[in-house]
Amino acid sequence: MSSLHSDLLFHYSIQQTKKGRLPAGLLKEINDAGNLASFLFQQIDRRQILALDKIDLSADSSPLVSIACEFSRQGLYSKWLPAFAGGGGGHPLAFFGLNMEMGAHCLGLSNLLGAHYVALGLVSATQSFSILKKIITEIKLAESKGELCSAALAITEPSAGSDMEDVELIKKASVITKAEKVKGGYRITGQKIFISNSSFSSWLIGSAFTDCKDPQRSLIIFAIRTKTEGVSLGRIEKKLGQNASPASVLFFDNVFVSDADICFSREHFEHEEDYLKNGELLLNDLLSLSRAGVGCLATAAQKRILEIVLQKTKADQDFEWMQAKIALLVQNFVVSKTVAWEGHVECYSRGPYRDLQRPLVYKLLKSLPIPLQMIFPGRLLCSPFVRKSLRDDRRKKLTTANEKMIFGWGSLVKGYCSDRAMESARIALELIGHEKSDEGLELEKILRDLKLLQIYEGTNELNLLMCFKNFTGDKNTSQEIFREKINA
Amino acid sequence: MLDSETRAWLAGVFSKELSSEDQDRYCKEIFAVVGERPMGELFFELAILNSDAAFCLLGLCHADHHLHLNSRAGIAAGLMQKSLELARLFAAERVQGGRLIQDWTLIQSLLADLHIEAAVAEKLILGEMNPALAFWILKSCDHFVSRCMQVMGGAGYTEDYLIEKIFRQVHILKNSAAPFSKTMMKYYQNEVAKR
Repeated sequence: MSSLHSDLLFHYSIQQTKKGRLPAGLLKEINDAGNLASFLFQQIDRRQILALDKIDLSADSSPLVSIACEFSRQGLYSKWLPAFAGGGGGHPLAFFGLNMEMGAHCLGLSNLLGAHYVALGLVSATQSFSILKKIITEIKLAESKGELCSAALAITEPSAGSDMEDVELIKKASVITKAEKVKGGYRITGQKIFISNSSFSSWLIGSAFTDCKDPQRSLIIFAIRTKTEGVSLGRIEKKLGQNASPASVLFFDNVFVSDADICFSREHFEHEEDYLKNGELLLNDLLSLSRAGVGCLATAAQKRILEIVLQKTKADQDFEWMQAKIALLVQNFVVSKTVAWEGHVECYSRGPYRDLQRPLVYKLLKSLPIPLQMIFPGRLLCSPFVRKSLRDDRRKKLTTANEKMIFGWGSLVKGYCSDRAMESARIALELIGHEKSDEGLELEKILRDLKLLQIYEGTNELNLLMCFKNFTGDKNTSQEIFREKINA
Repeated sequence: MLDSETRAWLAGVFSKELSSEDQDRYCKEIFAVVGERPMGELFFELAILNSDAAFCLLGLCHADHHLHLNSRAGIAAGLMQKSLELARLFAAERVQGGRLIQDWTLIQSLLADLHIEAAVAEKLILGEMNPALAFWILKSCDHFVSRCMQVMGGAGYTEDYLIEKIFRQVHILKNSAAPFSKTMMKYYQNEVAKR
C-alpha cells in the first residue's frame, strides 16, 4: 500500500536541525512527545473515537472522562508545566510533537490537553506562580491516583466572541462578566459561553471586568475551583463537530475570588500604563501560541486525511488524475507542516518562553532535579518582588518588531493551516465519497471537526487582518486596523 | 419558476414541522403533482422551504440518473440561497468591535462573493439544465456553505442555527451517489469525450 515518505513524518523540519537554532535536546523532546501520543493512541481504538463523536455527553460524559483519566495516569496534565512549580518541566515547544500526533487521531480529544495547557499558560504568563504551584499540586495528586484534575479557560462571552481576540476589539467589546472589589477579593457575576471541557474541569481560569463599559482598562484574570459556590454549569452546546471536547455555558453568581487567586488586575501595577501594556502582552502571547497550536492540529489532521485517501483509493492509484489529486493533498500537508513549524519556532523564540530555549538555560533546567528546582528558583519566583521584576522585564525586552512577528505568525499559522486542511478534507471526500466504512465515517468526522479550527481563536477572517496588521508597514509600528468608517 | 399556486401550496405544507410519515406522504403527492416540471427548479424551492423534505423527495427519484443529478443540484442551489440568507441575517444583528458585522467591509466583501455565486447557481437552476451545470453547482456548494458559516462564527457551528445542519447536508448531497470526482470523470468520459 502507498504510504507517506517517512522523512515527511518528522515532527519538525529536517532543515531546522541543520540550522542549529534550537538545543538538540529540545528537538528530541519534541519527537518524544509525538511518540508518546502515538503510544497512547495505540491503546484507543479508532472505533472508540468514532463512538465518542455520537454520544450525548450532556447525559453521560464518563467515556470521555475515562480517556482523560488515562491521560492523567500517564502524567500528561502536568508533564509540560514548569518544574519549579512542581510540573514535569517539559519544554512548551514539545507540545508541537504532541499536537502533530494527537490531532491525527482526534481533534476533539487533542483539546482535552490543549485547552488545559492554554488555561494554565495564561496563569503562567501572568507570572502568578504561587497560584500555578497550587493548581499543579492538585494535578499531581490526581495523576498519582489516576483521577482527573484539569483547567479550563473561561474568556468568551455571549456578545463578545471575536471581540476578546484582539486588544483593539476588547476596547469596544460588549462584556457582561462583572468583577466587584470587596474586602479580601472580588465578587464575580456574569456568564461565559463555549467553555471547552468546563463540565469536568477542576479549575477555571477566567476573565472579568471591574467596569463592563471599559473592558480594556478594567480587566482582571482569576483562578477558581469549578466547585466554588456560585459557579454553575449551563447547557453543553450541541455542535457540528469536536464532540469529544464539550463546550458549555458557565454562570457566575456573586462568586467570591480571594485576592490570592487573582492572577492579574490593575492593583498589581503601580502605573496604569504598565497594566495596560502587560494586559496587551498577555493577550498577544497567549493567542499567538494557542493559534500556532491550532495550525499544528490542522496539519496533523491533514496527515490522517492523507493516510485514509492512500488507503481507500488503492484501486485508482495507477491513474494520473488520482495521483495528481493525492499530490495536492501531500502539498497541502507538507507546506502546512513547514509553516506550522516555522511559526512555532518564531513565536517561541521571540515570546515569553524565549529564554527557556537558550542552550545554556535549557541544559541547566534539564540537569536540575525537580525538587531542587522547586526550592530554587521555585520559591524565588513565587515572591511578589520577583513577580513584579519579571513583568517589568517582559515589557522592557519587548520590541515592536518582536511583538509583530509573534502575533503575525500565530495568525498566519492558524489561518493558513486550517484553510488548507479544510480544502484537503473536501478533496478527500470528493475522492472517496460518503462511505459507510470506518475510514469514510472518520473522514466525514475530520471535516466537521476541522471546521471549528477556522472559527475559534478568532475566525480566519480576523486572523487575516492580524497578518496585515503585523506583517505590513514599518518595522517599528503596527498598521492600524478596525478604524474604517462605516460605509465610507 | 414554479407557479404561485404550487409555491403557496408547498410553503403551506412545509412551513410547519412534519413527522417523517407526513413528509413521506406529502413528498409522494408533490412528485405526482409536479413530477413533469423541471426537477432542479422544484428542488431549489423546496430546499429553501424545508431541506428535510427536499432530501425525502430526492429519495423518490433515484431511478433516472440525470433527473437525480438535476434534483441534487437544485437542492444544492436552494441550500446555498438559504445559507446566504442566514449569514446575512446574522450579519445584520451581530455586533463585533462596536458595530454590526455587516458594516465591516471585510464581511461585505465575503457576502458580495457569496451573493454572486448564489445568484449564478439560481440562474443556472432556473434555466435549461444540463449535467455540466449541475456539476458546477454541486462542486461549489460545500465551500459556499462553509464560507457562510464563517460569517456566523462560533454561533453557526452550533445546532442553534440551521446552517449547522445545512453544512452536513451539502456534503452528503455532493458525495452521496458516488465519489464526486469519479462521477464527474465518468460523465466526461462517457458523455462528452465519446460524442
